[in-house]
Amino acid sequence: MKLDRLDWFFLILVFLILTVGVVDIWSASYQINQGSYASYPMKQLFWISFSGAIFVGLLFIPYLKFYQRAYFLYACGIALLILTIVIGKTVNGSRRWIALGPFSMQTSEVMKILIVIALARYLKDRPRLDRWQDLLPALGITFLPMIIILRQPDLGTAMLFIPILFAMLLAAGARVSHLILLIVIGINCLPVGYFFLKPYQKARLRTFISLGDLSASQRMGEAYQAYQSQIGVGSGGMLGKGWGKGTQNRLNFVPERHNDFIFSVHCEEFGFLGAMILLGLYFLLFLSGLSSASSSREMFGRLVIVGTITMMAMQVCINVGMTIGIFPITGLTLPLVSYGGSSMVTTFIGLSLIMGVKMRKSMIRSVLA
Amino acid sequence: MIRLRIHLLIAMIGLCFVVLLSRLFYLQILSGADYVDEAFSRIQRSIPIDPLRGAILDRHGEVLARNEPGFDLMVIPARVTPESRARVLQRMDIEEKDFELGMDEVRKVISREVRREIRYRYRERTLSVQKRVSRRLERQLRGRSWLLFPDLDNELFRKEIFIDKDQFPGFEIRARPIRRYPAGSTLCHVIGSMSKIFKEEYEKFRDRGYFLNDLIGRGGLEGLHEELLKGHRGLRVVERDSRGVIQKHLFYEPPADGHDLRLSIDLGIQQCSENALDEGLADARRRAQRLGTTPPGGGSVVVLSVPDGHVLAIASSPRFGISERRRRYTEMLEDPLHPLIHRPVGGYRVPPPGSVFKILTGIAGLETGKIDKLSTYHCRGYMHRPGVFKCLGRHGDISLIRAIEKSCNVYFYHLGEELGPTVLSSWARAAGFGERTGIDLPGELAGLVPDPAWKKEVYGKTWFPADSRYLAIGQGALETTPLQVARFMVAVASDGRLPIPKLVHDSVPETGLRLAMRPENLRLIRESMFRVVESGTARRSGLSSVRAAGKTGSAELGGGQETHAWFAGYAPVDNPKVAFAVLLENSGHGGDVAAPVAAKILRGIRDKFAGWK
Repeated sequence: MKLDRLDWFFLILVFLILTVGVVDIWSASYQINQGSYASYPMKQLFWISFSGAIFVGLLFIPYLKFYQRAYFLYACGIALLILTIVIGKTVNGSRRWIALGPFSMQTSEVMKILIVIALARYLKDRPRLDRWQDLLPALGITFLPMIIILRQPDLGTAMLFIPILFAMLLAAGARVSHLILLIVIGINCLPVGYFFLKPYQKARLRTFISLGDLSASQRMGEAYQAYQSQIGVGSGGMLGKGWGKGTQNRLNFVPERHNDFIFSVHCEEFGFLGAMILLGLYFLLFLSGLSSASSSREMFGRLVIVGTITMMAMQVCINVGMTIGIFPITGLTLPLVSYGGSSMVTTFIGLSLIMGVKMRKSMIRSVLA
Repeated sequence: MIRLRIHLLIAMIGLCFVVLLSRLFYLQILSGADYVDEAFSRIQRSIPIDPLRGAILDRHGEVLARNEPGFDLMVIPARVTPESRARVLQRMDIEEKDFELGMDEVRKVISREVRREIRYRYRERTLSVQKRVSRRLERQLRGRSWLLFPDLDNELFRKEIFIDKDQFPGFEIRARPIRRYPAGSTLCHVIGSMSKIFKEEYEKFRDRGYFLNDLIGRGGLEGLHEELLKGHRGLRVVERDSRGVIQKHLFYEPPADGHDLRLSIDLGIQQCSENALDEGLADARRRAQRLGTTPPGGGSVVVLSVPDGHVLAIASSPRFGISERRRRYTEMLEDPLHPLIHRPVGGYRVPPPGSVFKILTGIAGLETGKIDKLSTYHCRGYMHRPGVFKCLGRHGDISLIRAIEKSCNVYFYHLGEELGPTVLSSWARAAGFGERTGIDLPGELAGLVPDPAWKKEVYGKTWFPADSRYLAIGQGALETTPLQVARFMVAVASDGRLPIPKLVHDSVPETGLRLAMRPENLRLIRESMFRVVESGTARRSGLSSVRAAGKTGSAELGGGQETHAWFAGYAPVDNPKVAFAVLLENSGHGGDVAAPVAAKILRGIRDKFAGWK
């Protein structure tokens, strides 16, 4: 591996976003009742180092190995998901975690990457996607884990798979008419799907639909989290209240503030300017990833990049969207910023795959072409 | 081809980001200020801190009114269980129906709240919406804490609820300061009471720092000295976290407690006076029942300190417990004895003084030179014709001292005629009758001193000599309050000083008027008043044993009513400490009824004064 093949611009963007994350988590870890800071920032640094090691380790594996073992990995992932349903740890009414000694792993996080790899393999193997029948296995690969994850239940993660599938089909050259048909069917499934939701999911959805027109009791009840988060964001103004000075944050009004709602803390303390900078960094990161996808000639690598970037981009949109009240509340984290090991590891695996493709563009061409 | 599709994907992600940024722009830039307010309103709370209301004390510091912790039994209707209800019934030892009465009251309050809320917020909505909302509202309100029984006195039960909350779901105890009046009905008219500020009058009080439903002193000293007693609210501004736990104190202004009010009243003298008065009236009532005459009305006692004019006791009968005032109000309004009236300063009808007034007529005669120590009038038991302008006896040739001692009417008929109405009424005014004494109490009446001009104006009739005769013996249109009479006795007991009576101990003494009298005349009058007690109309009252001097009065009211019984005087004779007036309405003769009451009071209080044995 040669260092000069590394995309330094890409790495610097990742580093900057991680820094913003640690800074925000530091502020969000203030425990008003103890008057001290929780150990989240240090733990986050550990997870970053741990994930960084995986990132570097994976760079040494030629990504064609993933191509070869795509279905095997996918099967392992499905097994893990089923295991989670059976022996998983119940947190807040859903089984998403498997205990691994002192840590716990959110299996659906890993599954996201495995789906991307499996889909990439399938779509690469079938260069012509003219017929409906060619799309069906791709749908199957996506929907099988999605259904299991919905059973956990984890609506947010499951919903993430659809844009991933869509983006990868788009990049793989599926017919536009098929894609549009998929969208139409998907949209028509939404109202039907509502009846399969759990009550709390329905409540969140109702909250989301009516947020502009909330009664006082709703603001204290089901919409409390969303509304508190909005107050935090809104009261940040242009420049924010300053690092560690967000009252919604420090007085514990914003729920899950070091985790799902970290963006609310960021907006409250650094204002609209801070939000623009963070979203700008993300956009540059996605741009940088997708630009190498478009310049890559090799389909598997390209699809892996598209899938991973779409996954991250959708996570950013959904997470920020729920923080500012334009999306229902889900458990999706803000990649690279939210506190948490599973999400960090998954994101780094994705980044590592992207970097691997970036580094091996020329090499692969000579091998495969 | 591929490149185009990737660019399309980039555009889609870009579009999502544009949506996010526009929403952020809306939240943070366009409505940022609103959200800043919203965030602050969630965090900062202003908490008013009530001051402690000042106490009302007697001159020795005995408590007449004070704020003490009280405990209300509160109910949360939605959480009451049959068990907890049964337990409360048992602990409070009350009937099922009394409990339900209390609960009905709570229900009424809740439905009133609901109706108000509907009127206020949902007036323009459809009936079905209103119905739905009121059901929801009622459910909500039933989950709140409401006053069930105020001021629980069962301490054991109170503590049990505090300690064993789980045993009493739906019930709780709320502590609040309650104004207590440990002396019961003593001084009830003087002290006044506390009541809520109602919505209708709130406008008026708001600027003075009151809140709706605040208690405010009304009537009596509670009302008069409200500013002094109430103190000032403090304020605390705090920062609270999401659970409402206070995290930071931003501002604190301590409350300024109200000042105590120390009265000139001596609680011992006051209670002694009230008891003697009540007993005297009870005796009179028994006598009236026995004889089948008209029952007595109420009564008054005023005891003033001669050296400084302070009010030592001001008793009125009948009385009421101050804390019961509100509950019994309507009932008391209809009571023929008018317990709400404070009689010593006027009451509903200022009484005539009767023969007590003869002292003043005598002074006027001596000072104007119409009579002297030796001059006499002849009494045949009537003035000119038998049966008209009668006397109590046939006194023969009688001088001033004997005339006062025996309370001879004929003597004073003659003297009154000789003095004439103008001179006599001006002397009456000089002695402080016919206008308010200026005591620091609301509701004092001026009484009335009639003269020819007054009669002309009110009745359009001329003044007859008969009017002068009646005036001279304290009858006719003349009206004097017991307080005025007692103050007049201060003038006689001292050297003519007419101090402004004060109830508040530390108030700046005001000199007031002075009734100028020659010392030898004053000596003569005092001598005669001592004779009243020794051998005159009050000789059987036992007043001589407490070395008192005074004058009886039996004010005729006409209409077959029993006379008002008066006794006014001072004691001890050689070095007067107190001056007093006792009035028992419709109770009989002053010497038989009022003088014994005065004697009882003086016997009870003389130990309090050095040099009075």
